[in-house]
Amino acid sequence: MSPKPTWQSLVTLGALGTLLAVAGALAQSPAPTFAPGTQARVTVSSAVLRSQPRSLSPSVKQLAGGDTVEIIEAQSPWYRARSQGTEGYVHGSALLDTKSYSVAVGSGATGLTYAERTAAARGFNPKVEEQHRKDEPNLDAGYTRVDQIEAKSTTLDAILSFRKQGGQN
Amino acid sequence: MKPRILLLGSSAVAVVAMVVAGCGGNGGGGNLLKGAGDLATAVTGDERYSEIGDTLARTITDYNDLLPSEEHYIGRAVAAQVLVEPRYPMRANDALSDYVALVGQNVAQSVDFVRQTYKGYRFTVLDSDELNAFATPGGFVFITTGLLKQTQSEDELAGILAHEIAHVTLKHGLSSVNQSNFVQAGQLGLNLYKDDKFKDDPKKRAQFEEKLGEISKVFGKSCDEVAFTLLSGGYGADKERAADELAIRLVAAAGYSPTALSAVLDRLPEQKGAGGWLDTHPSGHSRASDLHGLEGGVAGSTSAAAIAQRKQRHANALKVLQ
Repeated sequence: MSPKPTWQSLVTLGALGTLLAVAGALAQSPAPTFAPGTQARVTVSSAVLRSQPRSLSPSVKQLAGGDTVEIIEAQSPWYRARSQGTEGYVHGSALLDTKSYSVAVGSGATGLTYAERTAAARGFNPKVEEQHRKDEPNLDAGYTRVDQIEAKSTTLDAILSFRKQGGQN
Repeated sequence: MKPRILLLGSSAVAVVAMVVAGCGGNGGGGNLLKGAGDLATAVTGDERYSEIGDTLARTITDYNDLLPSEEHYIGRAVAAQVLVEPRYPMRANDALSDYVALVGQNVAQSVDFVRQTYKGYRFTVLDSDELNAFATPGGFVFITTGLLKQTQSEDELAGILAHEIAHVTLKHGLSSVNQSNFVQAGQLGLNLYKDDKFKDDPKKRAQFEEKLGEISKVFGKSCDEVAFTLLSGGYGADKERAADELAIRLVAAAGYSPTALSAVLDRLPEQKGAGGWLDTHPSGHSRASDLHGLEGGVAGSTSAAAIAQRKQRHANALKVLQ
């Protein structure tokens, strides 16, 4: 089991981390990187291609992690994009440019699923979580509850109905 | 002394644009290592993994280089830490927990400038008298029954949950980690989950296990640092102000009153030492005072009748806590 950090070490590490975070934030590019005509990949578990550039607009297609879309036009934070002939709007925070995607999880030439890619790529992945749980068996009950939380989702219909009842049409 | 945090600027929307840009900003530098694909195939015995070998070129500079899935696994571990704390029993599914989830999802899923996370946002009630709410990376948001009882309307509750959504959108949890942990995680080499392929080669398997043990330690350390910040250290006044500012823009966009958050903050007691929000956040009065200066510039579109309607269903949902 890894030793717990002390207050002093965390304060020191926190200050160092903050400096690095500040440096990182300053080094960021100021605008989204998806230019019209380029391709991007979905990096969240699932995303929605919508009929309008609005969060609650109807879905025209469900996108899975790893899916490729062709960017048509930017309407920040949305992108009008095409997925296998279907056009719609996808949120920019669900996408990664193809070059970065390829470096992070592979180019996509061999038919691995996105889940398999993220599991095999370097960094934090399910195997690391599995090892962490072995290292910290006291977290087991907590992980069971996290799984219960994750399994509980709220449907779009339920949200729309809730909004209507609350006068938020 | 609390570390000073980057002043995030006056426009929260600009900050969100910066963060969203960061999501796509993995430069992914470095030269591809020749033969990396062969190595991956050799160690897994599965030819499909040849291309994953290219990820040997992946570099992680800071939290903006993490994949949404990596943020998610950190969030899961931090949430698991929270949920084994005896002071934070998770409330069983009931009408109240469903109501809180709906209010949270109403903000998270209806507003365009909420950052999308790997598996979306989740809202969970903790049966604790402590006044507290916090969110892990990836979007696991928690609120105690103690803080719930301080809210007098749905719009106030939405304001508190929006503050937590703002912390996730702005990646405040990830930024509280010593960023060298992430650099180290990127440097620790291939992590292939099909380790059973090593069964016949004890030497390779031992190397793999050693590397996995190292990265697991880095992972655990990162999660401990996030948990410490959420539960004890706090993010610091500047990040709290940024989250408050974004929160009132989020609730206004969702159709809630932008002045409700300051109303509940103004009502919070001032004493320190009881744990929770009172210790990890600046005083409610000072936060409310800061928000008063911003509320005029945030256009709300909700009517008094709609606020009253929502206030009634809030009262009905919270009756169980009386």
